[in-house]
Amino acid sequence: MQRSWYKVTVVVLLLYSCIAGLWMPVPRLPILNETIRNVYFHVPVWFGLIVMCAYSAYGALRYLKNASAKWDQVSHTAAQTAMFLSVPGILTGSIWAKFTWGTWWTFQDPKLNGVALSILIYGAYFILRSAAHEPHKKAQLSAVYNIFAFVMLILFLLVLPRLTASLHPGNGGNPAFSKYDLDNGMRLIFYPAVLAWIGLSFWLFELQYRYQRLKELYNHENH
Amino acid sequence: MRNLSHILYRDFRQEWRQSAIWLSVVLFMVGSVYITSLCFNAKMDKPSWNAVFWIMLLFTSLSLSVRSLNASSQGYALYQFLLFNPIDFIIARWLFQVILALVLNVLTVLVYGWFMGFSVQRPALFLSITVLNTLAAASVLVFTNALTSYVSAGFSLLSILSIPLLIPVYSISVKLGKQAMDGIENAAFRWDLMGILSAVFLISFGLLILLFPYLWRSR
Repeated sequence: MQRSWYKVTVVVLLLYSCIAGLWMPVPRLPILNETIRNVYFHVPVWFGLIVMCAYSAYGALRYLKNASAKWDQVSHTAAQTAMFLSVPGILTGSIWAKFTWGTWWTFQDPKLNGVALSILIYGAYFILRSAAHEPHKKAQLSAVYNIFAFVMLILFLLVLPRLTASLHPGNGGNPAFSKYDLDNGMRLIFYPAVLAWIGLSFWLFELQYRYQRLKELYNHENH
Repeated sequence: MRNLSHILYRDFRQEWRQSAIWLSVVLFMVGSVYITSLCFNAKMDKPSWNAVFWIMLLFTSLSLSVRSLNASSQGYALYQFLLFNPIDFIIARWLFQVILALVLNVLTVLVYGWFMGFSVQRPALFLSITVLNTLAAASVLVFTNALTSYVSAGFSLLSILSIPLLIPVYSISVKLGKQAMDGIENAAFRWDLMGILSAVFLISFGLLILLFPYLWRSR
């Protein structure tokens, strides 16, 4: 196993956050009740996704600087990993929302709109990649789009809360996990969970990256 | 500077000669406004009037941008590459798109207001929001237009690439437009959103200038 130290850490932290997250006592808050435990699963997934988006933009930036195929692959794979993570992110959020807000999805919440936007953006990114055929041109166009889109995405995520009040816990007077009612017991599970999921997203990234490399080598030898 | 005005002059001359192309965009706009007024029986409450107006603006800007996609040929692209530097070129492109879009959008306000009624209480403010929106949208559209001119996919790819990037611009504009419609006084007006819209414009314009030279090199 390559760089096994961080994978071992990820496994240990994930096990810890799952077991402790489901088992340890949590504060009793109105509406949220036991669903507050979702904070150990749903929120860290989104942390991992944002980190992957940023890594993808970083890869694009490196590609524009030195035009090496490696960084194009990094950028592409990181975007794939981010979109992969959006699935558990939306599932955990949607199921949670059904029990607390009474609906699977709403257009009133800025965070949900931000997610929808990021899926649209990276969807467009993948389509742009498939539309360009010549490898260098494909890499260049998608790197340029990636950087532009990432900056706009961040801008939008910062702007959105000003457009509509969020329904998310901790926003607009909803009870949650803010500095007032977060107890230290939850912090002890939440922070390791965030680290674990960011680590896991890099692990997923690495697997996909190596798989793509092997596929390329295989195709190269057989043609 | 002389290069810039030269490119602009040439673009406008070409545009004027191929009058069918820009007339088709105007016709597109008038047609869609007409359909809207048929669908709504020319009676709409204020929030819908505002929402439909901005959607109309989004699609006319998109079709305007597609028009300039078709206009430049392969040979002309090479000629430009040999003569101009990328910054001059992209600023000229941007100015060209902005001027055409401004004319078109003001025309849209007039035609739409004529068909659907115009009950905006602060028209000057509404118009300045439209102008700011045009500037921001033009930066995004010129960028995606430059991208798609390298791949043979045309309209669908252009709209797929630009709509996600235009969502911030339009969602802010809708909020502001509604406020101008309701005649909110200066003290209560959401100037912070106006500032954000300007920031979106400045950032997208800056990114356009920064990133375009990389595209230019790949010709």
